[in-house]
Amino acid sequence: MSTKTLSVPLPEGLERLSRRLSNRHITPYYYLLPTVIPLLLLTVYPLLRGIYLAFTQYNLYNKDTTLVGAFNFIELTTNDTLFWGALANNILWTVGIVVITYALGLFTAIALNENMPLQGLFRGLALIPWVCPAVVAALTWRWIFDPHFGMLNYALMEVGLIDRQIGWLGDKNTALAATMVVAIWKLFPFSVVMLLAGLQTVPEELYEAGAIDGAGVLGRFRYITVPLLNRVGKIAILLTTIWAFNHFDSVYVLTGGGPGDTTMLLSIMSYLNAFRFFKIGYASAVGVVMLILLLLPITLYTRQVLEDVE
Amino acid sequence: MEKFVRRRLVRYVFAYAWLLIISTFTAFPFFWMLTSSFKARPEIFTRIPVFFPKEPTLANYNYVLTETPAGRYFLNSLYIATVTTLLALVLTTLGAYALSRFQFRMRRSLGVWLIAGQMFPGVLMLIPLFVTLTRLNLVNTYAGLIIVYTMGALPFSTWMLKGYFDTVPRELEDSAMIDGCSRVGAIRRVFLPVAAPGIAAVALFAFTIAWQEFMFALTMMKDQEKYPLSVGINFFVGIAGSVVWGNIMAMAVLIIVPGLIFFLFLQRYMISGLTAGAVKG
Repeated sequence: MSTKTLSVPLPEGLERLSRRLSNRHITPYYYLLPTVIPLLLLTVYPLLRGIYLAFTQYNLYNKDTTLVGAFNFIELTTNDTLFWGALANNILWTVGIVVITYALGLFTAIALNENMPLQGLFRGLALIPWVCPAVVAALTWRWIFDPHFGMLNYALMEVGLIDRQIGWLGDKNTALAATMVVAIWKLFPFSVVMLLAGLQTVPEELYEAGAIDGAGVLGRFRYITVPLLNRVGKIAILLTTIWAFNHFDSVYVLTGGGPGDTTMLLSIMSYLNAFRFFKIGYASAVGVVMLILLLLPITLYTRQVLEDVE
Repeated sequence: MEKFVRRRLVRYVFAYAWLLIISTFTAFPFFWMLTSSFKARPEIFTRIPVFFPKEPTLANYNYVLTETPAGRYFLNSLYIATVTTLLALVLTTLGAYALSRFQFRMRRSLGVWLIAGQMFPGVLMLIPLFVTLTRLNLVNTYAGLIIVYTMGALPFSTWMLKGYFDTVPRELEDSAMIDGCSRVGAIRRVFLPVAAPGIAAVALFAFTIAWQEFMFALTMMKDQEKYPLSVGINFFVGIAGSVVWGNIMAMAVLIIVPGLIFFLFLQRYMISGLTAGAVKG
């Protein structure tokens, strides 16, 4: 377009360049560049850089970027008393959250899918944890869990389930479960939304046909609902897995990894190494371990989403 | 027929019972936060919890707004979240449009990256970003956080918006272009108004990310007066010694209200936006 407005003919090379720049095949890139450049700078680069740092002894004092091979990883798996415990916690925590979130989400979605009065209100109520920042959720729950003034101990003692005050977050036996409750509270609205959207694509006629053919409530659930939810359910499970595995905020605020490292997760361990002990390289190695463990769910999720589009 | 009706009633009873239990679980912390923010000290530190304050007081709000920098934190969060939203809107709209309308090389790889890009461990991204931003003197600045949050919102927003743009018929711009519009003109006059709900969902998403984020802000902001709300409230708990829950809850209400208002108005968009990529049809 610029060639026309210029009265002086452009030199041969520039002319060709200009023609090439206004070529149809180039046009998409004008639109894409503003997205792609920040994406490259702010996600691709840090990822590669983070992986690189995992193979160095970089810390905030020496800024040493010489490669030291797998040193950090060997140190981590053989010499670090925290690592295996944190890994076990992370897996237990993730599996527990995924299973419970899915079950709660499924029941709630089915109940919300009934065509009855007040559904809008209940749907809103089921989804509000979403708008609560993890920090605020953690602080509020910390108070509910408080051994002396907390709501939970009071309620449980009133109904006679416990006979003495329990410090839910301070007790090594209950701390991990207590932090899981908070994460489930925050995560399960997402499962509800996904599964409800999935249920709503199931045509009512299918259930009627099933009922006519003699399938009971359970039969219809097993042979109509479950297979049709398969796809959406898979996405919900994969996303919850990834989010739970990477989780940081609420545990950091609730317990900071304690008591006695019983709630130490890999993300907390990595964070503390990086920003309390300034062992950047070592902390990156923990992050790389997390990435490796997440490769499978990330791949499955990406493939599933792309498959849906194409 | 009667049997059918009775069966439906049984189903309703079960559904209501379950929804009641679940709503108690989800809504109780909000209820507790709200009522406690109006309680005076004696009603907070009591073994038998007080559900509704007998003498509701605004003292907590008054204290938080005048004696602590909560107002400042609020403005910081608002500034950071607003700029992030605007940046994300411009960047994602362009990218999503290209992904939706043009064929080009690397289209598929870009899609993969957009989907996978937000799944990597936060700490793994935080560490190198922190190192780089330190070198660029962007640590402890609003700009640094805005950059990071825009990055956080970008991959998923672009993908979500592409899904929405795909549902807008291509013929719309084509006919506008035949009538003499340039492509940019066609986008501005014809396409954008139709795509507005999808763009609103992205705006909401980006704003929420920036408003709620904790880990990056905790790491990057050193000066107290630059804290966003999420870090501010946690900091306040840390220095308060024995935690003054009434004040904290008043602060919590201040954090949640904007999100809640957004949610009430835009619930529908947000849900359709989130499930757009996941549910066909």
